[in-house]
Amino acid sequence: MLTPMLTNRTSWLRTFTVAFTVLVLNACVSAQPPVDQSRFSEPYTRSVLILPPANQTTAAQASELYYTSLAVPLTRAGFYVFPSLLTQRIMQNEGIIDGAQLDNVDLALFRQMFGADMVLRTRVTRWDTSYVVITGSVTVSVEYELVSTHSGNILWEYSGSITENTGSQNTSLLGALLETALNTAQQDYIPIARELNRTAFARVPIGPYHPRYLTEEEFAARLAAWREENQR
Amino acid sequence: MVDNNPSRQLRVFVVALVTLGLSACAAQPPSTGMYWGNYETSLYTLANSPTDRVSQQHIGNLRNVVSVSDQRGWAPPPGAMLELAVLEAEAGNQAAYVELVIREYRLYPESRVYIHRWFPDVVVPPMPTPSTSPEQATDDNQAQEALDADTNANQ
Repeated sequence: MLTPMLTNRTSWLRTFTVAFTVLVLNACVSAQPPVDQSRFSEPYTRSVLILPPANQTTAAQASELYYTSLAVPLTRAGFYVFPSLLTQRIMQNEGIIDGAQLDNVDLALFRQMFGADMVLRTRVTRWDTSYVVITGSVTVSVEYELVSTHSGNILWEYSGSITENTGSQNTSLLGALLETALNTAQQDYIPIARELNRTAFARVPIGPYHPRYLTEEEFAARLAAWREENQR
Repeated sequence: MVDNNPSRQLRVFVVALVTLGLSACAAQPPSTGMYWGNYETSLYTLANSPTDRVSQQHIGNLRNVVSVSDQRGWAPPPGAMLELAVLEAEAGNQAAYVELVIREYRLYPESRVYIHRWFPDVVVPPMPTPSTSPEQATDDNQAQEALDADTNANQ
């Protein structure tokens, strides 16, 4: 009787050890690196107004189409983002089609008229296809800036570019020519732009609606420290 | 030392798997979730080739964003209710328009300046009893005012 019990106990001990090891290893793997919430140099950064992108490419529709890809990832980063369609209509009614038209506007205006803590400025610098015989590619390049409407300071900036290869793997020359032409013509810019946005906004300090945002006490401490710093 | 008993090996594997799953759940930050559905797709299509059909799809997607969020007990994402409100008003649904604007106003204090400025026809009644959101909103407004005072003093 004793031997089976010991064997059974050994077996459970081994089971427990394996489970415990897995638990520890898994905890190590799934623990996400803490987000550095102090990277914004100013404390009040709750809401974002997305300005129409400045289009520095030859693609006439780039600004308008790219604009549609910005709000959702920013809300997922935890910010209150003013509604895209309405903001775009308001801007268009004011004759603002391209973000470059707003370069010299006093940013305090966006706080007064929209209640925005920050504006997101973007410049689309590439929105094009490159096509040479059997090689082809589509490139989207964007420069981003989050600017405080309280101070006018740039709180975050990023510049990124993604190129999608549209060349053919076809071994016949004619087939490769046709396939590359077709791939390049059909390639949609928006999935590339969305991927670029994901990469960019993963680097933004998180906003107040993100589950890992500062607690009220932490925010109050940060606000107090910021006030003290600015009163010196 | 090698345990060749298949049932024991299976037991070890099952326990390890369950532990892995449970610890993965425990390691996740608490999330209230956010549902955008097909919003981005229809917004893009509306910008690229606006037609009545696409416009109907977009309003349908926004209604779905709000209803799915409600079903899951999540807050509709920022801005979604305001955008839907305007489209409902254009479709002649005035009651839905007012209700959505008021919900956004109460749920997201950051929307208040925007709503006062661009939705002047909507009068937001005071809450009958204080609840978490308006209290939070009041706190936020006070924090905002304090910060504005700081900012203005420093400029």
